[in-house]
Amino acid sequence: MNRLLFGLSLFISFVLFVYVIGNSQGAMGSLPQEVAVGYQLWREYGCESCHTLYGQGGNYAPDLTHIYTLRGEDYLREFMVNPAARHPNQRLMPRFTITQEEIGSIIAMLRWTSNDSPIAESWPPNPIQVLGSGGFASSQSSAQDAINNPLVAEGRQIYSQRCASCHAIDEGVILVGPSFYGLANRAAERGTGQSAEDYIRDSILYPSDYLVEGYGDLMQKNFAEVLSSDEINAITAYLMTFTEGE
Amino acid sequence: MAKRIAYQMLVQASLLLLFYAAASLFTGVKFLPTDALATSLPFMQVSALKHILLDAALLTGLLGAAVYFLVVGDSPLLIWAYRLWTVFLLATGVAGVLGYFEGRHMLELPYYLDIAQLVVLVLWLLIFVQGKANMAREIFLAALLIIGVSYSFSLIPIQSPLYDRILRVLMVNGRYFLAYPLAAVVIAYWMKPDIQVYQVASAMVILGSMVSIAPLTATGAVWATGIIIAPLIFLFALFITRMTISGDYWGNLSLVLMMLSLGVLGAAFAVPALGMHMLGTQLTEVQYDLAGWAVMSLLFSLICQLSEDNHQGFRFWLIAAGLVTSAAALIIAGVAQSFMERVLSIGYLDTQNTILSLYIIWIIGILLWGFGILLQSFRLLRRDI
Repeated sequence: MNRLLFGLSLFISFVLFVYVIGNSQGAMGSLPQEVAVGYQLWREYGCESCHTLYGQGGNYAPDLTHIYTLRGEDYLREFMVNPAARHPNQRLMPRFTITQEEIGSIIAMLRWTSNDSPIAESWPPNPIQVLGSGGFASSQSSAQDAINNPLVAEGRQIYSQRCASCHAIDEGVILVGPSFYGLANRAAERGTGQSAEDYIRDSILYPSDYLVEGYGDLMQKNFAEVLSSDEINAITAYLMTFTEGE
Repeated sequence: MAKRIAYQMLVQASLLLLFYAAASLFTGVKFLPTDALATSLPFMQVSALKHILLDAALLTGLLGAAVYFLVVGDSPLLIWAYRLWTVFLLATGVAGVLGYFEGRHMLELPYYLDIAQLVVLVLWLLIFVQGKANMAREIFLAALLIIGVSYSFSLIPIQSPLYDRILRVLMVNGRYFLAYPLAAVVIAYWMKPDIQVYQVASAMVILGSMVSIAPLTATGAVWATGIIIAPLIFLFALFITRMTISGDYWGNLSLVLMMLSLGVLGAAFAVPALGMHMLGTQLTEVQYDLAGWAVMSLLFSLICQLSEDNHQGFRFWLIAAGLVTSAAALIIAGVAQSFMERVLSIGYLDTQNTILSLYIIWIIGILLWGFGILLQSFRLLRRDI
């Protein structure tokens, strides 16, 4: 009787495993070749030892499931070539001898995990930021912005890729540069004789012209080259939504 | 001869745990803000060593315990199995030092060592099948089979992160939450044959299976899974209370750690609203650690029994205090991570800076239990049985 009970429990366990594994999403789907190559490289370089994908992996470094959406391809390419340049005083990622072709394959895999995988939308509960705060990458908020103002939505996207590593949007949160909380109000009161929009635009293009007290001249100087005028207008529109009390 | 080999394997397990303690210390130090060895000894290498050493220690200890209880007299097969297992452990150590471990989290053994391990496991299986027909032997053999199946699945070439995630429930979770605790229950029974081993083992199989599949949340009845686990915890507690009377401190510690790992954390992970926020944080890591430490504590109970050592000595309290300190720090860190990163969408690096003090407490815990294992290993090496 005892052995029968144990045998029954083993059978139930077997059925449970088979059912769950067989019914899990994406079990049998085929991947595009470049994504499969990217995943092989992901394992060869030991990325899983430190990073997680869908919560699977080491927790020494951020989850990368949606990193492609949050940071964009240019950022990821730069980062993989020289990881220490982006977060100099934080936990260091080893610098691998990785070719551009391999970087492309890994990015293809990260693009797939962000956008195209069967469970891309359902995991994690909120996209996991590397640095910064405020839930600005929440897909629901992005969708609402797009309905209300496509320019603001585009600015939000660019902000998450270009600005979020140094500027938070919550009151009192200082990363590298000042928080953007209440920026629209402060920009109009800078006393430079400019409108708030012009001040913000000039701060992006010529960051050294006006430094906020207490902060160094650390901001990237080449946004005029890497961003188009439409993109700068979009960021400005987005930053103008940050009025105090909101 | 069999008893001697059993004891030597338990000593091997203890030494592996000592190296595991060192690897854990290196791992913990990596989480501090400044790491002088960040690029020369990257996290991936020390974390791989940590996982493999724990796995090797648990398997060696469980096999050694089974040799003690199931094998009598001399057997050429036993001697060869022991030698091959020792060679496998040495080869694993060399592979680790030379940096040949793979970059698969919790599955870092290279393919050729995986295959070698499987071959030797089959040998051990044959030895135990031919051994004494002890009560509950088939439960231990079932646990060993599950371990073999989990390692076999890890040999499947996997091209997709989703497919890997799905098979993990068998490759890793099946070992830590099902096979190892099952084997530990049998060892506990052989040490003290007054527990209802078949009932406990059956409950353990169901509980371990539910905890193993929790990360997938593939079934629509996952809420029901969480509800089922909760009463099973209490059912399990009813069986184990009979063991706590005897004053086996190591055994009691083992049960507490298993309760934390499979019961509390297992139930939390099974509930979708909680598990989705917790997966991939320190809570995942500490759940594996707690399950491993639970089995480790039981093996120490056996070692103390065999070496006629005092269960309640300074070494026990040092190791217990260290494990509890480490576990508490990591659990709080994991809860903070889940809340800050997943609920509040605060950045990963910002969260890590905030919970830095917990990592310092974690390291203090590692130092405590690591020192305790050092004393334990030293004492074992000095004794001659």
